[in-house]
Amino acid sequence: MATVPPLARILLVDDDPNLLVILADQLHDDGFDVTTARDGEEALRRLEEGWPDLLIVDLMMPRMDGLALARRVKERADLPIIVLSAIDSGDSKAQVLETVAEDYITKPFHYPELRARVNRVLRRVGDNVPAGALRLGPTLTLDLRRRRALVDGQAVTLTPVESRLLYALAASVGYVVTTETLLARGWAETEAPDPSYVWVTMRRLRQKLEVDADRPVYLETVRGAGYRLNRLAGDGPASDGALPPGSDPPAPSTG
Amino acid sequence: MLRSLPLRTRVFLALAFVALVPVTLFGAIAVAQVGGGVRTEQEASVLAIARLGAQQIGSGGGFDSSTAQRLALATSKTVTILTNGGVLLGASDPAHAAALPAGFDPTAPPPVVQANGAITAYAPILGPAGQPVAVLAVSQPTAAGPEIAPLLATALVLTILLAVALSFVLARSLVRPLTEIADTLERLQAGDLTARLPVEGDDELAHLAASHNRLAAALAARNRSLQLVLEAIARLSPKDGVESTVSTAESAATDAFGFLGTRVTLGAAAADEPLEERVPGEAYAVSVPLQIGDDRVGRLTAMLTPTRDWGPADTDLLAIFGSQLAVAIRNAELYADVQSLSELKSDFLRGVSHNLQTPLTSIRAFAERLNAEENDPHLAIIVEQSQRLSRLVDQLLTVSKLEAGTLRPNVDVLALGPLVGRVWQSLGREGQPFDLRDEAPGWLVAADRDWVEQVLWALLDNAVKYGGGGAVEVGIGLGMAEDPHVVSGPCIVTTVRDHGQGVPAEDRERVFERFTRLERGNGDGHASGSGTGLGLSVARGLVRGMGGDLWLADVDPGATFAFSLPAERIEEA
Repeated sequence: MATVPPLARILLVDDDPNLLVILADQLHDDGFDVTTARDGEEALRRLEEGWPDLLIVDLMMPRMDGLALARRVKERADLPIIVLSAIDSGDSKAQVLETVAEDYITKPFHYPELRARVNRVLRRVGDNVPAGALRLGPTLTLDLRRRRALVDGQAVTLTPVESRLLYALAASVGYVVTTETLLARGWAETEAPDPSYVWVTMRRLRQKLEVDADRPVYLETVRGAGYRLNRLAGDGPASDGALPPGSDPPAPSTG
Repeated sequence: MLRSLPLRTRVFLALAFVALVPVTLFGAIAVAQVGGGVRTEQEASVLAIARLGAQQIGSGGGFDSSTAQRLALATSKTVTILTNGGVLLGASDPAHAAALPAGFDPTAPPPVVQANGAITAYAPILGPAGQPVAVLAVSQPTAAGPEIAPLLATALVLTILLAVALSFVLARSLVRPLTEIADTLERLQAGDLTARLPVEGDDELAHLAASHNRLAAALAARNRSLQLVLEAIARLSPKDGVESTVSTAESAATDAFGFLGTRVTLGAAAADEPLEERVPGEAYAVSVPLQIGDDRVGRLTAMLTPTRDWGPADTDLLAIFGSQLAVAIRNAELYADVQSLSELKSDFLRGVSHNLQTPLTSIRAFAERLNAEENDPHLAIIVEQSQRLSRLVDQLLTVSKLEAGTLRPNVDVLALGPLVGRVWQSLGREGQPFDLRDEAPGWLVAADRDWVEQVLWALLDNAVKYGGGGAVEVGIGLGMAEDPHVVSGPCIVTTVRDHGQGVPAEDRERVFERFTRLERGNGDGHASGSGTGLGLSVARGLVRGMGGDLWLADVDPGATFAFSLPAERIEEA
C-alpha cells in the first residue's frame, strides 16, 4: 500500500443512488478523495472540472452505458478505469470490457475486494509498461492490455493473474522482481496467498510462453531472489549487441 | 527426315511404293514373254534360211567355202557346210564354223540349236535322188532379248525390297505419332493434365496434336478453376458474416475463373434479372443464379474479356460455385440471426442480473456497514441472505451460459484448503462441526477461483441442508489413477461428506439433474425449501468445464460428493 499516493482522486459513476452513497462513504473512509456522478453525461462534466486518478463506473446505466463512457474517456486520456458489472468473466461483454477497462468487479462485490482492486490498479499506473505490444524476442510479444501473448505467431490467452504478474515483470524488464512483490501483485485480494502460487504460476507461464519450458530464455528464475523478464539480445530498441540469452540485458531507462 | 514430310505425302509415298511392286512384276513377266517370242521368231527365220540354202545348194552348188560365203553374203548369217558325218566342207567364217550337234540324224527334222551365243539351224542338203548328202548349218548370234531378264529380276527384287523398307519406315512414321497420341490420352485419362503432344510440321497430325494440347490446357485450366473454387468455398465461414462471405466469394470467383470482375447481388429479385446481350468485341457478362433448390438467394454476375471463350463446361462450373455460395450465404445469414438472438438473450440476462444484483449490492453494503456499527445478529442474517440470493441469480445465469457453451474458465493455480475454509465461513454456520483435512499439501489445483468457489458453496450448502446438523467433513487428497472419475494427469479429489440420511439408490444420478429437489431429510429445518435445484447441476457443469468431474462418491453413512480438478505439484521454479 506504500505506493498508493495519498488522497488518490476517484470519480465514481453509478445510477443507483444508494450504492453511490455507501460506496463513496466507504472509499472516503479509506482515504480516497471521491467525486460521484449519476450518469455518463454528468461524469463527463465532472471530468471537465478536473481529472481524477481513477474512474469507477457502472456498466449498465441509462443513456450512456459504462462501456461507452469508458471509451469516450480513453479517447481523451489514459485514465485507469474499473468497471462495476453484474456480469462475470464468462460473458462475451467481459472480453470487450477487458480491452477498455483496467479491471472489472462483479456485483455484488465485497467491499474489501473492491478496495484491493482499486489499490492494485492505482499501483499499476505507476508501472512503466508500454500500452501497446511489448516485443521481447523473436518468439514472444506481450500484449498485456488485451491479456494475451504472441508465442511464435500464435495468440495465447493469459489469465488475469498471469497478466498481472507479467505487468509487474514487464515494468522492470531485465531486473529481478521479488517473489513477494509478485505474490502481492497477483493475489492481493486472495485469502492466504502463498509463495507456491508464484512458483507454480511461473512454471505454467513458461509452458505457455517459452519455446522450451525446461530451458527458459524470457522468464528467468533468480535463485533466492525472484524472477526476471528478459528482452532477448539483438531484439528491440534497447539492445546494443549480441548478448547470449540469459545474460544481463542492456539496462532500460528506469524512468 | 520422313517425319518432316506432310502426312499426305508420306501416305502417298507409301501407297506409291506398294503399287510399284505389281507394276514391276507385270513388267518382268511381259519382258520374259516378249523375249521368248523373239527367240522363236529368230529360230524360225534361221531354219527357213537353212532350208532354202540347202535346196539351193542341192540344186546345183558346190560344197565348198565359196558357196558358203555367197550364201552368207546373201543372208547375212554365218553359213557352214558339213558332211553328214560332221566333216567341215566349207564355211563363210571359219572362225565361227558350226559343228554338228551330237547324235545328229539327217533324216530327222532339222534341229535348231542354241549354243555359244548363237542360234544354229541345221538343214540336210538333198542329192538328186532325194538322199541327204551334206548338212547346211546357218548360224546367227542370239538376240539381246534373253539378257534383259536377269536385269529385270534384279530390278524386281530391288523394288520389292525398297517398297518393303519404305513401307516399314513410312508405317513407323505414321504409327509412331498415333502411339504417342494414344499414350498421351491415356496419361490424360489417368489424370496427368500436364501431358502434351509434340506439334511437328503443319499436317493433320500436327493439327490433332495442337487441338489435343488445347483440350488438355482447357482441362487443366478448369481443374485449376475448380480447385480454386473449392478452396474458396472451404474458406467461407458463416461466422464471417454475409458481407465478408460475399466479398471473399467475389474475389475468389474473379481469381478462379479469370473474370475481369465479379459482383454478387443478393435478394430473390436479383436472381431473375435478365442478362445484357453480348456485343462482339466488347467485354461481356456471364451470370448464374444463386439458389438452394427453389430458394433464391441472389445472382452472381461476372465480366469477361471480349476474347475469352465461355463454354457450357465453364457455365456448369460456375453454377456449382453459385450453388455452394448460395448455401454459404444462407448459412451466414442464419448464423447472423442466431448470433443476434444469442446477443439478445445475453442482453436480457445481463439486464436481469443487473437489476437483481444492484439492489442486492446496496442491501448488502448497508447491512454490512450497520452490522459493523451495531453488531446486531439480524443484520448478519440480512448480509448472509442477500449473498445467498445473489448466488442463486448467479447460478441461473451460469446455467444459461453453460447451455450456450460460452463459459471459459480463467485457470490459475490455487490452494483448495483456505478457499474451502472461506466458503464455509461465508455460509455462516458457526455452530456446526466442520472438519477439513488437507492430505495433499504439496499440491495446488489449476482451476478458475470463482468457479471453484461456486462449486464449493453448492456442495457445502447442500451438506448443511441435508446433513441433519451433523458434522460436515471435507477431505482434500491426490486422485487415485484407478478411479474412473479421475482425469488424465495428476489431480486433486475433494470430498464433501455430511451425516444425513444419504441419497436413495434410485436417485443417485437424478441429484445432478436440473431443478431436482429430492425428498431428503434435512437437519434443523433452517434451509428447508431454500434450494433452487440448480446447485449440483451447475457445480458439475463448472467442474467439467475445468477438466475435472463431480460425482456422488458414497451414500452410507450420509452423502459424500467428490470432485476432481487438475493438479500442479508445488516446486520452486
